[in-house]
Amino acid sequence: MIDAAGEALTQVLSLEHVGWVLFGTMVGLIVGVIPGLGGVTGMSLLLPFIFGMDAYSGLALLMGMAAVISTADTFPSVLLGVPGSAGAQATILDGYPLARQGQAERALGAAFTSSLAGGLIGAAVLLATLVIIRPLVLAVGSPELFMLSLLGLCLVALLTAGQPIPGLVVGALGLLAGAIGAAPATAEYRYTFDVLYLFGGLSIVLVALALFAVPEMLDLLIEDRPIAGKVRLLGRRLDGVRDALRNKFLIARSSVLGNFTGVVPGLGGAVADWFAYGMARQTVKGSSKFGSGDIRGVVAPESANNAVTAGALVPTLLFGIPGSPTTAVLLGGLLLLGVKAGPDMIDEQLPLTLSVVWTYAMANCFGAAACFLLTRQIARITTVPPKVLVPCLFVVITYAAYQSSHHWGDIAVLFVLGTAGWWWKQVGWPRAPFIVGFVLAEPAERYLHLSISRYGMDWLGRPGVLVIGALIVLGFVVELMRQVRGRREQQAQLTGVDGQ
Amino acid sequence: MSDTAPTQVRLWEIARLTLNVLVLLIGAWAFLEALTFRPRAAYFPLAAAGIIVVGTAVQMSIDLAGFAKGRPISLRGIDVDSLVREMGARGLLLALRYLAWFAGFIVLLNLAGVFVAATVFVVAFIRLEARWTWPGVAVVGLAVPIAVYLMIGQLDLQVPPAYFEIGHELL
Repeated sequence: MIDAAGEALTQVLSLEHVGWVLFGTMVGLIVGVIPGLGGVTGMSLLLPFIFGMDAYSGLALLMGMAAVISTADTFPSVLLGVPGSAGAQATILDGYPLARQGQAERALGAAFTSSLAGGLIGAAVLLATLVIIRPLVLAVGSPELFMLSLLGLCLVALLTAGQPIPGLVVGALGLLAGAIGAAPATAEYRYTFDVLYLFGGLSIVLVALALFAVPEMLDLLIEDRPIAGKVRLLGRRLDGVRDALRNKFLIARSSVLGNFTGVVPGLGGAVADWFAYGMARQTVKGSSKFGSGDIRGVVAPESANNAVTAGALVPTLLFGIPGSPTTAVLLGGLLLLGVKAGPDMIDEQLPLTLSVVWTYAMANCFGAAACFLLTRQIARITTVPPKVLVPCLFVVITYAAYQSSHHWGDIAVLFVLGTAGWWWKQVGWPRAPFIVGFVLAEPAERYLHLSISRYGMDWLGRPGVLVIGALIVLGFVVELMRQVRGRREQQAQLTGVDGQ
Repeated sequence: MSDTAPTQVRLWEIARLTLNVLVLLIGAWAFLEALTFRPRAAYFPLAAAGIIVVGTAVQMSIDLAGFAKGRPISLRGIDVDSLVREMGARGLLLALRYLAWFAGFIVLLNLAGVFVAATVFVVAFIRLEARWTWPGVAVVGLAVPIAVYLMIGQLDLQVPPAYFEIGHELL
């Protein structure tokens, strides 16, 4: 392990690697600042550029971007009261009031320091998890991996939007879309309509860009919210740094909480920041100012949402189970680099896995440093009107989509699936289960095929399979109870209103 | 909410029901198609399509039952403000307008190639939609082909073939 860590560190400190991390970090900062975009769009935009790269460089680029999205998304949350991404919503509650009180710089300073600490603690916990979990991962066989795939998909479907049936349907649609092309067991072509373009299946880059980037761009245009008229940066950033240092235990608690939230597929940044905010509000002294400009309301969610990505890397790298759309696209990126996520990542590919940990820590340092040094310049990006930004972005994503298979079909699919994605978004259907299902389709079918080939139907009786199966059932039961309770409360409220 | 924006909610209900019907049809077709595959290639798509058919049917039953009783379909998980803003007739028309812009860019890309398509699309959009002044538009008109050249040329990206590949010889 120590040898592998040393080898990984040597790779990470090479000039080329540092350059790719820096490039990824800068892209992540720009994407994170623009409300509505986020990790999936940024990651999908970068994927076409990693074709032909070696695994270390490609991962440096992707991790550099993924690590700093949650640092950059603080800008719109604090300055405009608009979340830069789903993981920055809780920051608005106290960050925006602080900005309105003329303390925007202080709030940003505290947020960057907490984000940096959260990222570094996340990386440390990830490293510790790799060491602890290694024997367990190496004992996992294809039946357990198949069940883990199902568990991941079910959790994402159940937890993402609070609508279990549409969540499952969309997840199954993703599995079906992932089944387009050659079947892994028989090499029989499925759902191809005899169209040559579909023989190789759809690309993850294309699906992610269509389902996440196009709908967000359309919404940016329709809303036509002037992202900001004039950004006012008042206050002192160093005061924010001192605030963060004064709350170091809160940062540590929130980071660990964020890290473990990230491990559970389907939770992620959108939930972790609220968990951390709620925990801070309940546990710190004098919490009455929360919601009206308490700096601890910025510190807690910001440290948690930066640690989430590190947590999400555990199921993604070790079991090949993406817990969020961003990690689903990352998994697609690994495949493009010729790396197969799963138990091998902690065995033969251990140096590469450890390089991810170092890169994640390095990207967080770069991201925080850039935010401190270039605050005004980065904040100015929030003033670019959507009607100027979106046409430029559409050109980039169209050219990026074309890199999937160098076929006009890529651009046609981008347009058609993008329109469908916008429709889904409007009617409240979750999109995350689709991308997770899409990515899991091939490995899940392969694991199922391997399980049946090796064990017949006996694989269903393996202890690991039974435990994971029980967890899936438990997930459904808990969600069902939550739904019934919610409906009862809704009816009780309606009865109360009618009674009055 | 229904007092302030009944049309939007009704439109939303229709959009959701239409999507359900479409997905149900896709699921049913995929299921029937999977029955024609060899068994080892069929079990996985059969399971996925089965979930789609059963899940959509259940969801539609729930939605239609509420619809028949005059109760709005559950708005759980929906940003109602966004719904009112975007699902009204104005929002839909805007979406169609911007999709037409995107489609126009794709057609132009097919005709004139990457440089002309990107430049004309971005310049026309910011002039006509963002209402930028001509000097600003001129600067963008110069910057876009340079940016496209740097992105595609320097990163060695593939470009889609076009009828008149204007400027493609530079790449």
